[in-house]
Amino acid sequence: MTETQVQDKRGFFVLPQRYEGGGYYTYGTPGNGQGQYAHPNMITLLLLIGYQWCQRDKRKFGVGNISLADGAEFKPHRSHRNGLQADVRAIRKDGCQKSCGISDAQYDRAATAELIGLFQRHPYVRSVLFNDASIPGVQRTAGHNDHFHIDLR
Amino acid sequence: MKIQWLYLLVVLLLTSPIVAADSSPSPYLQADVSYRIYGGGLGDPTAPTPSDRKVAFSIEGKAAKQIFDAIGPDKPDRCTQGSGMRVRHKDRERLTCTLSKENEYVCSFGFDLVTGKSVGGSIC
Repeated sequence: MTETQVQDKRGFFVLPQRYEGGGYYTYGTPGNGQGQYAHPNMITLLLLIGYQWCQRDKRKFGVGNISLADGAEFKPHRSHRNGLQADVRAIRKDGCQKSCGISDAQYDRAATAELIGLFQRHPYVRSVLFNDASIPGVQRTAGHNDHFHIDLR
Repeated sequence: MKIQWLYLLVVLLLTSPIVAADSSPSPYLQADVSYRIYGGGLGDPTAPTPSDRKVAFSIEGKAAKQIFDAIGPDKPDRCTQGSGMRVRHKDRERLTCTLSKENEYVCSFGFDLVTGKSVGGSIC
């Protein structure tokens, strides 16, 4: 297991992992937060939305890839270089901490729409990419059936 | 008589080494390639299984530039807007090439190894 450095050359910290009482859990490749170096605005937003979400729902939402240390190229992503993009898993009905596509029986459309709404209402958020066109304001793009991609200003 | 001379000229041109070289395919060349075999989704990969196994390829350097040049023009890309990156793709983004503002070319594509179908190799 590779040790994750606390802070990279940009001064970005890793998103807090598994903190007590948080509304989100972390996942991603590489693991252990190595793909979760985040711009300060992203950390602020995810902690805020995590707090808001845990007031509404017992299930945690999954936060995945953000950026690698020092903004290195993050294959297979075309973005995720500046700490201002994050992937978030769709909410599952059973609350399991694993992937769920929009055509899966476990996909909880209402909860996912509610979570996306929390993000969309925040002024930091520029766009949300997700392929469930029934959710207002999302933009469809290839590869986003099982998670949505948030992009901050 | 003029038609015979014209015919001779065409035959000479078509059989000349210069024209012949232009119409020949290039030999196989080495390329800078990396790949991942995975299961699940490209953006949320899991360990591959016998029933869920895909491969994603990433080509860089000269080979990527040649592909980038071949699949123009540039396409608008919500994912990279404002970053200075140029994006080209075909077949609903299943073949995607990028040119970064640092002048680095990358092309991505991939296949479902169970069905053989193209599934793309790049995501936002």
